[in-house]
Amino acid sequence: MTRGDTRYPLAAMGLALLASAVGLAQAPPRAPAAAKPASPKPATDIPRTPDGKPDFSGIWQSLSGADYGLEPHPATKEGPPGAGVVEGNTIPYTTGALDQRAKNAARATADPRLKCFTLGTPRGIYYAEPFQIFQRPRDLTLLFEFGHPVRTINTNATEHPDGHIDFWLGDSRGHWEGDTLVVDVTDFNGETWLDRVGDFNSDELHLVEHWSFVNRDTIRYRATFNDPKVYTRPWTLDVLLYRRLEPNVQIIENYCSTLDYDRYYPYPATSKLTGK
Amino acid sequence: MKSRVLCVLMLASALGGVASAHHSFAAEYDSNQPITLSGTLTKIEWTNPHGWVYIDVKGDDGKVTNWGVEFGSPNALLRRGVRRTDFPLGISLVVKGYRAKSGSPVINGSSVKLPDGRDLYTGSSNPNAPGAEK
Amino acid sequence: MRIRIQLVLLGGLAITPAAVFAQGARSFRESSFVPAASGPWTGPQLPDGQPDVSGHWSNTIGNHNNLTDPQGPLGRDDEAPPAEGRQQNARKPKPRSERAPSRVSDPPDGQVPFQPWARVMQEDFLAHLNNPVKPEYVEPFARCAPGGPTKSFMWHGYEIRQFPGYVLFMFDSGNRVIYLDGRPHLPGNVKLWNGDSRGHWEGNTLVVDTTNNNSKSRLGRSGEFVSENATIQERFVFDPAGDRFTYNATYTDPTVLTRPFTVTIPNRRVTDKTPADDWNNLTFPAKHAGNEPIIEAYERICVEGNGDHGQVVASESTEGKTP
Repeated sequence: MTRGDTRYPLAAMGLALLASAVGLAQAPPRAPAAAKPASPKPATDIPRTPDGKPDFSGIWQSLSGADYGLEPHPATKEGPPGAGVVEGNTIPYTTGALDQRAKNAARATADPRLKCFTLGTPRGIYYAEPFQIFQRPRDLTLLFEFGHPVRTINTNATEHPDGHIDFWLGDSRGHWEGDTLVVDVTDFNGETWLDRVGDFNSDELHLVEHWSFVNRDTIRYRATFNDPKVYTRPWTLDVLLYRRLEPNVQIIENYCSTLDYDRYYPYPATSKLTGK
Repeated sequence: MKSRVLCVLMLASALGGVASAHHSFAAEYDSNQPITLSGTLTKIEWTNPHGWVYIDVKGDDGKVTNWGVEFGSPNALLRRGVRRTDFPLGISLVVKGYRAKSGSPVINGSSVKLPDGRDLYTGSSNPNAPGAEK
Repeated sequence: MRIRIQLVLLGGLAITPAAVFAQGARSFRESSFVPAASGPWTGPQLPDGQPDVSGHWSNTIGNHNNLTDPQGPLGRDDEAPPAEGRQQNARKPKPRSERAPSRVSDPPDGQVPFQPWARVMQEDFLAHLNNPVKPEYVEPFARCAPGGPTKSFMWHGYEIRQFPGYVLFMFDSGNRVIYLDGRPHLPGNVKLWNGDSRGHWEGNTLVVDTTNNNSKSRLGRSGEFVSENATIQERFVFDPAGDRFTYNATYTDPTVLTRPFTVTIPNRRVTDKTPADDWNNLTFPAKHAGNEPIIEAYERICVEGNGDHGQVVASESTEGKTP
């Protein structure tokens, strides 16, 4: 399918009107996002919740390698090559932001991932570790293995809180357009990176995600970035998420920030007090 | 917010560094070393469970030291309508608190006076909190 | 859109907001309670048959300062500075008989049945709590480590979310997933802060087997602990009226204990009617077009490593200022 243009604008509009009619909230008016994505081919035989919505519950993981670099890049000592996940290949940074990105890249040790800070949104989605989606009518709960934080996508017709709040994961309000979950994310803290080579956004980012099944074990995740502080125009990334199918696979707790000090607890092995 | 009058007092209590800390106050700070600092806001970290402001303080010898001031939970402030954007960098602050036991230029903040004279002090919004949480 | 705050200084009204918050706090501060009894569930059910206990909850005794005397000394930080603008006399501690019982409900003496060497370790930690001259005396919770399966219920309000096959507990620091689908535990050498939990419902009781404990979080600032050989049998007994549940956790650990012991913690539901008190009710009113009150919690992310920890200077590890 082609990217960027709406194939079925009237159908998309009709679905949006239907959604409004049944009381689902639309995202609050913001700066316009990029051109509407192509409607995904309707996937057949997808899991559904009792109320008929696609059920994204499960453990998911990207194989894109996007965390090694969103834009196309050759192999380095730090990571494998990638053909990129950015539509049009290049992230349209402002000149000042390009300088900042270069500074970030030069100090790869400043990657907040290395302190096990929350990866943020959307980096947690395409990171190299899995996350689990738990779904019920009012929300989706995303539990990320890396750092074990929880991100909530509210699908209960609630809106973003007033004013700006600094969140690591942003504030996520979603609604259904047919079989696509459209999520509006605002309220970023600007403390996270988008990958290991220093791509980034500011606290003014407005992200719009589209989640849809390609088949019952594959989700297409598209995210459009709007951030006039950093980018000259909106841009979009596109990755697939694969369902982890191993028997009894589970998200294993990974509080990586404790690795620097956990040897001291509950007491160090070298403690002389044990008398043993 | 229903009442502007309630605002400042609840804000004050939330700003007190001893509210909702993840650590024991006495483990890190010395209640026998109160201190007052005047300085310029250089950095603010709006993180849970407690935020930090950093201020440049000029000593009597003219030397400038950057002090870290630990506060209570930004969520508590948020509940009272206060956000990071209410603290633009460069403003002058007068901060009262207690010094870190380690001797580093770090204090646990108990009150902050903003340039317009607003004094945000600990009024303890939760006198019956389990253990008066520190 | 930014919110502008217009503040008015009226110090004389200090009593009013304190009282408003205190009301909410009092209903979450009990000195006695009746443990819920296991039995049938007669409340609402989820589509998959689980009792519906989703929502916000908080314990009604207090914080994790003191496991065996939770409202006693160390129940408040005796070395905290006097709050400016308040009277100097913080509440005087009540007599022991008027304070909540030990959270250790068995053995009857309310103490953890330590082997002698473990009692020495526990007292050593407690002695250094306010003078942490070594890293092991800094409570890991201060570094944003999770609270552990049981100590997590001795802190702020938290949230329960339920799904077919899972019960999720979301705390300020850390999350617990209880697997209801009968899958095997993780291999034993994978040790976790919040353990690995497998559970099932028996009427109103969620029965949980928690293994793979790294036991690093201890059981309170008072220093009680178990080893990584500990296994925990938990029973979450929900009152069908829907407002309360009792948490019970029996610890078995031949490495540290002379016999098993049980922790019991009462909890109450937090609703939109619960005054926000920065402790038990950490929710915010959701913004929406409807009339019914909806409360929601914001992200629970703990960030530390940006300062000294007691006497242990930041330079001792990779802790440092955030970028």
